[in-house]
Amino acid sequence: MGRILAVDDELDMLALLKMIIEGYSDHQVTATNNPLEALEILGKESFDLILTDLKMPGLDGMELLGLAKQQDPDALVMVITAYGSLESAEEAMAKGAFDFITKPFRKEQILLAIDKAMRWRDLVRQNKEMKERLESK
Amino acid sequence: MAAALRTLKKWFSRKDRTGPPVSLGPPPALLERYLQYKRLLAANSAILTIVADLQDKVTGGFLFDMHYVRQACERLGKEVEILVAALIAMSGGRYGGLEEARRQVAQLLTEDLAVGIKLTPAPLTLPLEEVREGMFFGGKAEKLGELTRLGLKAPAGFGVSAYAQKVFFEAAGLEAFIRRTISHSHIRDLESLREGGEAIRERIMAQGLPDELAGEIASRLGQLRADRVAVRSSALQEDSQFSFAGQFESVLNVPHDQVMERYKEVIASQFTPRSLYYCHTSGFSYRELAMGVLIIEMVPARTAGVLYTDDPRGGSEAAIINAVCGLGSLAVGGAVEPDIFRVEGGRIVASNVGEKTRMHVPAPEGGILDRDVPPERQGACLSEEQVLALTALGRTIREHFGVPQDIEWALGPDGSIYLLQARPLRVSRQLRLDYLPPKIKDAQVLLENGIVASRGAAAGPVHLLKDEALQEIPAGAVLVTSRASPEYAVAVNRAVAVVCETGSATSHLATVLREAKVPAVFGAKGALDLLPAGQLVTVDAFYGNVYAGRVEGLLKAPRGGDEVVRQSRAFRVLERALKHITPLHLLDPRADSFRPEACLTYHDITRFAHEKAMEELFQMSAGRVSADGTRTLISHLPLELHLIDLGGGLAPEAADLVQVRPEMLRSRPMLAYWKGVAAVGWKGPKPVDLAGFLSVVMSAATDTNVREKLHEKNFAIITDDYMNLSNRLGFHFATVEAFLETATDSYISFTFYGGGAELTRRMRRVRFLSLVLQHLGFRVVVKEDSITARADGVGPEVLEEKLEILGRLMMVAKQLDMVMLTDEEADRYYQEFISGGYNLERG
Repeated sequence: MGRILAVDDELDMLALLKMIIEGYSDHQVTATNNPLEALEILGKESFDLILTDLKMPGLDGMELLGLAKQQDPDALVMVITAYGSLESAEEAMAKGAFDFITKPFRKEQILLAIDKAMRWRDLVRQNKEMKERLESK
Repeated sequence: MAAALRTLKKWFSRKDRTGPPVSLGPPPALLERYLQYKRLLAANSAILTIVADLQDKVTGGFLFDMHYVRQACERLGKEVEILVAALIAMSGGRYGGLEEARRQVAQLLTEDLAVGIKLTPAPLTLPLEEVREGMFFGGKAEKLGELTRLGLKAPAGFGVSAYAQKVFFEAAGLEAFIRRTISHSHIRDLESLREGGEAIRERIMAQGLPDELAGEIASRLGQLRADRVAVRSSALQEDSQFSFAGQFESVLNVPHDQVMERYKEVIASQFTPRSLYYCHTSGFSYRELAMGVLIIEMVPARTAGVLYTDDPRGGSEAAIINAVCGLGSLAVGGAVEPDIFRVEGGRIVASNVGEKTRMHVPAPEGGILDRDVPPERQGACLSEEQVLALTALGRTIREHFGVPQDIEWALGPDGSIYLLQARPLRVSRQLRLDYLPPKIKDAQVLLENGIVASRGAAAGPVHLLKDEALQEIPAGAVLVTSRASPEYAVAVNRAVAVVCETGSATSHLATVLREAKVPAVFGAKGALDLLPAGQLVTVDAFYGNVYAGRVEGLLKAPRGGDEVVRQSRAFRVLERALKHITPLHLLDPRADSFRPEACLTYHDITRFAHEKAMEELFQMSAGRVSADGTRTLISHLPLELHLIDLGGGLAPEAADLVQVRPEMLRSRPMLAYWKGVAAVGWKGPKPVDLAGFLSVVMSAATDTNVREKLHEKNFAIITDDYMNLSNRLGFHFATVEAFLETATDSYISFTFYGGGAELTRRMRRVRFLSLVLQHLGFRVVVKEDSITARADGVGPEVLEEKLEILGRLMMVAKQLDMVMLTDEEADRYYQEFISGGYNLERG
């Protein structure tokens, strides 16, 4: 089970994401339509995965990605892009996003992508632990 | 007779006195018409593609939002606008009615998209038992109203509609204030959004309710027996409830004299930073921020809690009950550990008595008191009997609504159960990724690699469509056709699946089939030969295959989609919008109802415009064409053919030439046609028997239509991919029109009429021609001595071959009516033509 922060200014997409992810997996979703609030939440709580739309007014997903990475370089961020904006998805990947998914997507796509991210997260943690153990020896 | 011969001689000796063309550039009017046609085709194709995409989103289990729906519909609307404008321009202003139809559809779509909920005047308040869906009282009040009508026990009370909120805001000038505050707050500053929300809440609390509303609330309160009520928000939209729900979602134990204040508090609680951020980006609207409020008698509960009619984690069938002492406000949130009961098959299979240290009770002055649970209330707070009674009640409610329920309940002082709220329970399911294999093992493949035109699978006996006899299609059949005609739409509901040898996923028929949820595979080459009539087959419209017999694995395959997605607003809006987009009412272009006024959807408009545009294009050669832009094609054949090039039909070196040679032709259809003409060559007129000749003379001299037509030149309007050729061959007039572009848009149309011989002889030639055309796969309509024929849906390469044969056919057909003495002769010529390499030896 993991904790996911979902950020999308489209309320219905946000509601769908929460329902689909919680309905088909053990992950818990904290959702907000406001990227500023997302930043605030990130300052208080820790998440296994940040799922964010790219195009949002005020503070877009790219900025949020940058700020989240600033707070925690290991933050795992998956960006959601609109159809036909592959360039921004590539830019996000270059800026350290773990993965991207293009809207509209099938529920299987998002669930598999989350699954992949969570497994990566586990590997990174294990790796870190082992390194620390080796170094302490 | 002599006079007739003189006239005839005069016509034949008529010299073309037209001087050299004034200009060799394409005539602007024709060019414009052609360019409009191309514009229309591009729009047509864009429309069908967007529609296919939208249908796919609805049926394919996609998650999408309103932004997507609005954008797609906007693009669609623009393309339809272009399409209609192009047709009107092509037709010189006719079909203005289509623009009217377009506006009406666009208007309906705008209404569907712009307002998820159109807040229209509604009662300000209603007793709970009268609150129904669609009256803007919100989900919570509607649901409780329904439970009350079912005869189940819920506290007495009433709803205050979202419309009442609008009335309140308008009366108090709150709308303008809210808009101003939102626009003054900074979208990049969370603190500023908080302050804005606070200002709005303060302003709401400072305003009095309008007299009418306050009066109604007071009078409804007067009818309640309990002196305390609960005031609860009842949002119109589940997702806005989920996003914007404020802290005052429920206020318990409210004395009557505080109800107005609490009502305002609940309304004001919507203005959180989240909702302000939303309003900032989308504009303040009642679509998002309109709330019904529910006011019900307070149940001074001994015990309260939540009942899940099903296990939300999925799996086995079980009801789960959480219970706490006192009011239910502690049942969720984890402040105390509730008692948990799991009921399976009518008995408690597991229970866990929680350590309930605290409980909420109504405070004498209003509000709630948090206090220690007294020692005598330690232990389970529900008896087995009560647990089972709750479970049974849950079952009744679940059965009524048809889906698992999440129910809030309270045990009154008298021990009876009160329902406080019921809403759908989300039951998580294991994501099943049991993908279907592209090829089913152990099943005999009859056909493969077709295009999926409408997703799904179905089985039934094969019915081969012959002679367009749609009324003979038996119910439950797998319909197999050679082409994807939109006219088959009338029969789609009788077929369980459709297989077409040609066609694409963006054709009119595919759109109709997806709409009707009839699985379909198109582009299934050879289907008419590979699928024997009457054989039971399974059509796999997931991968484009057809199997022998019933393949159960395929038939059980999930249809895609998900209940959660189907319940989402974007899904429901799109589904509703599609009703103005996809249905096709204009099925038969020959019917009287094929009119702009009958167009009720974008699909109707598109089909109508496409059909009429082809007619308009065909008509290009019907008007008398001026000498402007015409050149003469010079060849070894004694044929006078004038060419008008609208672009790309001739090689660049022909630009300034009045006379051009066949090798300068660049028009794809013209090249194909000319290849056939040149292959047959000129063999001179057929020897004519005396009766035949006299028949020509008499007929020509008396038929004014023929006489007029004889004066016309043979000419062809060409472009790189288009040809519209009016041909006078002997005493006949033929128009061959061909457009060779994409597989969907390419076609050949052919008309043939007139003739110099008497009717029976002319009809023999018509017989000969129609036999050949049918053999070539044209759809042929014969009326006396005229033929109209059409071939399409097979792609430009195949049409090119047909054009070449048509060129040959036109050459050999010259004056055949004069030598066809008997019907048998027409059949003999036909046999000879098709078996003799598309030529006649005796020619």
